[in-house]
Amino acid sequence: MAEELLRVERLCKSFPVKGVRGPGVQAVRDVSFTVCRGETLGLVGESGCGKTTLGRTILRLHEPTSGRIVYGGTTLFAREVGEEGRPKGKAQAVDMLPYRRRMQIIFQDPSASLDPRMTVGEIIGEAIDIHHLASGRESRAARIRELLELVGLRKEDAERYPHAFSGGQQQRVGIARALAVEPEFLVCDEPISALDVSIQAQVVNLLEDMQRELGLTYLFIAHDLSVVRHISRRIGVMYLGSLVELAGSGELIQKPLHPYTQVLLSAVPAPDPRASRSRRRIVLQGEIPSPLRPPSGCPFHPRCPRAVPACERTVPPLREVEPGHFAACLQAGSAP
Amino acid sequence: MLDTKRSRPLLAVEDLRVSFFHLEGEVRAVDGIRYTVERGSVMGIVGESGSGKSVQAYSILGLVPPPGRVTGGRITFEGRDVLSFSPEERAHFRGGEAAMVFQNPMTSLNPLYPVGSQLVEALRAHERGLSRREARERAAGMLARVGLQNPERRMEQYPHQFSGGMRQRVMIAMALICSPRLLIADEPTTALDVTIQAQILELLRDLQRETGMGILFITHNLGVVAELCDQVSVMYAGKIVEQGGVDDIFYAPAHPYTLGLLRSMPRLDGGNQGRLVPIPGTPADPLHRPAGCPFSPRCGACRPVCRRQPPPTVELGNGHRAACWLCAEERGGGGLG
Repeated sequence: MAEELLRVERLCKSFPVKGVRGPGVQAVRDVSFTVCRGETLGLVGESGCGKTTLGRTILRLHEPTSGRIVYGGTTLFAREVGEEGRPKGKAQAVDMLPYRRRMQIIFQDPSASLDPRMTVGEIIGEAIDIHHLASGRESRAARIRELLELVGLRKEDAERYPHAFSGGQQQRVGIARALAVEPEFLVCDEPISALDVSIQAQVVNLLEDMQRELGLTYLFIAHDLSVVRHISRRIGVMYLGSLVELAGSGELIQKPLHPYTQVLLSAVPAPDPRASRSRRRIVLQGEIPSPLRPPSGCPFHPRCPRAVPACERTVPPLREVEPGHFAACLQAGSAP
Repeated sequence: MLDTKRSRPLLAVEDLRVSFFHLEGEVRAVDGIRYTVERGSVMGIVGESGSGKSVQAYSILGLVPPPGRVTGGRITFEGRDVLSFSPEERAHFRGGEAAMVFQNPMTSLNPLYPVGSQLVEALRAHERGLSRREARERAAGMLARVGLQNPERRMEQYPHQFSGGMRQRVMIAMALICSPRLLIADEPTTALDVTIQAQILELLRDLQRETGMGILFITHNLGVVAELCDQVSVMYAGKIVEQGGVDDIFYAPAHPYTLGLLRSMPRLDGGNQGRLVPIPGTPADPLHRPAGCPFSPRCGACRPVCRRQPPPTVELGNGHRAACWLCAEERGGGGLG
């Protein structure tokens, strides 16, 4: 087994809402998983499921409410969970600055995440300066050139401003900025969903090349299951803040155990007209409930085609139904 | 005697050109496209951002925003010339005979009025004789038809009280309330999650089966095209580069751009097929399009002739055609079209 790089235990993140009693919006609820060095863990789910919040909470761009984050053997954050999911006791947390060098993020909207008043060279150089990674102006400029060429841009591009680039090129700048501090671990938050179809594959290939050349570890967050399947070794599925299934990517696509994963997979339109004419689709009734008032028991039970009375009462734990294949469903593993 | 009205296509677009006149110059957003939409059938227009797929649809309803305008070509609806409609004819056509569903339902509903009154307004604008009560009953019936529960109560609610998927259902109800014969849907599911998208696509399919309307469906998502469309037109840089039945486009693509799009997509069912094959480069700058084939700078099969001269449109049989020099050569020279 490969070396564990990141471990997340019972992580919770809620956002208080004015005028609402209780924990507020429970964006991430009791999520646990590990990521091994050099692997890509994909995270999928629909909008509002908490996947982006989870990615940001792991980097402590949002401070967790409770739970534990262990990175490379060091506990970055720990706080116990008490009654009814409320945090208990004092949080134990480290200064993140040295870890910012090792853990980076690529954002969804490349134009919104680049300062329009800075040149690309300044944007990348800022990261180098903060962590004192260059010994002088010459070596700083050389490093910027090297990074631009690494992500497939030209060294002259350092003088240009973000608006002069297309969306795909802007995302390359975002990748270069993240790589400037020589990180080991990257949260890729929907890095290609703002890009045109013909450009998406270019960026996916770039991310795969970078991973191979630099030995990077990815947490790849996206709503497009086909892309996540392509790039990930394992995939986690989130619904209403909870991790409901986690398995090897081929296994998850071919043998989904959680009813929500099954619905999600059957909803993905395939670029294959004959298959879609013959396919039977599970069309889900209703919509995702509000994370302000999540349902009791299993978060999916009000919409689940296989729900039984017990699902309303019991929160199903994420359990290993088959070797390496985890599902949070009371009925997973029993015949449908 | 054959009913001539029946044998004509519902909508025919011929050599349509739309340009935007900017200070920097003329941008030919739509550069001579032709297609038809038949009754009871779905024509999909696929393309990336900037391909002109939405602008060409706006021109059907006279909605091209300035500084853009239609600079050439013909659009006929049941044989009538849409572009020379009088303002009264256009008002009747728009919403009455042809209706549109937009990508973002939040920006197309008025946030200050309950959705019920917006539906009633749409209905009474086209059916003058209708009483308020009758109109409200029809509106409630339409909301129930698109899958809203408690339609009477829902009619009193404001757009912000609806989720994204429900708002899009309201938009579809509003578009269909006057029983149009043509529905134009501009990326109607792009802002929605996949499970909600599946619900909306199923709804559109059911409604079409019931009413026999023709649908012009604009999208960038090839998966959605495969699910819903009967005919497909692939647009690139203002031109239709390939057109045909949905099976021809997906199983026998002829244009290198179509082929490139299909190849560059990771497949959910296809296993981990190693490296993706992207289309190199970026879409052409609309102000400086290449002289010959617009796709030539990104095309792996580009020849010298592709850079010099626009490619002919080659008939491949069964309504399948592609605008490509390569196809022309394979067809034994082809004709300059």
